[in-house]
Amino acid sequence: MNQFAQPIPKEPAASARGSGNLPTMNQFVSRLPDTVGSSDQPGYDALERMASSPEGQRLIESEFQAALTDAGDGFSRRRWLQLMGASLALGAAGCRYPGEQIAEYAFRPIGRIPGIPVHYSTMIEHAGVARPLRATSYDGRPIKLDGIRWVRVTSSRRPGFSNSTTPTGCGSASAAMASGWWKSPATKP
Amino acid sequence: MQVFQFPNWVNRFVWLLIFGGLGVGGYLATCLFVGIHPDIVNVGHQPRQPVPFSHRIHAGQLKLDCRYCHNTVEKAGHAAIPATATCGNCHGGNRTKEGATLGIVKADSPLLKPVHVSLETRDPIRWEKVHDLPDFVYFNHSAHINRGVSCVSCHGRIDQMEVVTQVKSLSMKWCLDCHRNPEANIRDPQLVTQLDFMDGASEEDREAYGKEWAAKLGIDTNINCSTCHR
Repeated sequence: MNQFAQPIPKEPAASARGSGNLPTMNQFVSRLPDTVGSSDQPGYDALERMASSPEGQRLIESEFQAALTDAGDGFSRRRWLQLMGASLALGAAGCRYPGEQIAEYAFRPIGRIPGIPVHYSTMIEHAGVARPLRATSYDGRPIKLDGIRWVRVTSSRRPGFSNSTTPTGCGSASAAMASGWWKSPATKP
Repeated sequence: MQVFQFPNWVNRFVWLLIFGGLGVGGYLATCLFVGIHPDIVNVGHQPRQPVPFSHRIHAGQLKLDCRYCHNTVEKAGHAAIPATATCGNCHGGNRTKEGATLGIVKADSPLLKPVHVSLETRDPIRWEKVHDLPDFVYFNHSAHINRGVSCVSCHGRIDQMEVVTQVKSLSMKWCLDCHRNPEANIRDPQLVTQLDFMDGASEEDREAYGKEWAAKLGIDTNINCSTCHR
């Protein structure tokens, strides 16, 4: 009868899509020739008329759920304007480089002076032996580990590793540490 | 075939284009220059602090020494913001470490809530930095304080400020101006926290006094790049 009257392949049953007795979109569109063909209604707004019918509305809702909820209620657009306005205000007010915050201790440890490095004696276990270390901490962040030169088991050249005397067990390690601990830090072995 | 020719009155648009372009370019350049100039960006910077601490009351009216709170200023590069415990000494109520009731001054004021929360949870208060030098600049408070440069030289009359405001530009030129002629800002190192010191004195008197102390302290200012950019 007209150019729309062509067979349209069938889609799976509507009930398979879990939407009650709604037709599939293809089934729905395939009724277009009938709408156009009726004598009292012109053809140019056939699609609009189909879409505005209750069934068409429900079909479109089920088909384009996400798009409708996003565009329909106007909230997201208002939210977008809010965000844009806020960013504009920030841009106008933010002619200065970003500020910094100072988070000082609630209770500063006794003797701690911010900005002055603190040295701790500590140790690392290597090959089953405790190797003495001196840790440098800056504002609470450890930034350097040194071997303690005047303890014979370590070398400051390779922190944490021995260079000359390699003790074979915990006993000899503690003996080595005990033999050198009283020497001045300035004394080179 | 007739060739299209622009009428003569179009010529004035050429000049408009040249001078307009120059004008717009100059305008934008001026905006940029003015917009990032330290005198404009930095002076008057007055961030809102989590606690409306008033230096005017504490340092001005009650005459607390600057170093009661900023107690590391003589020992370290940082003039550290005091720990919350320092506030707690007067305002903490029984929230101090041992639970002893020490500070009873406005111990339940809602404005001091961040202090009280910090004392109870041991979380720091996040103060907004007012005098914020770029990270590529090294500045050492103790080096200046111990050589008789007063707080007021860089921070202004903090003891009169309800909210701390930056009054000097802290630009590199401003630093160098003083490093080249430091006399007007040198004084007896014991008086560095006396902010109204020689307030009404004439400039000549102030410089003569500063010169005297600069000689006494052996002030030898440095303007090498690596002094601050290290």
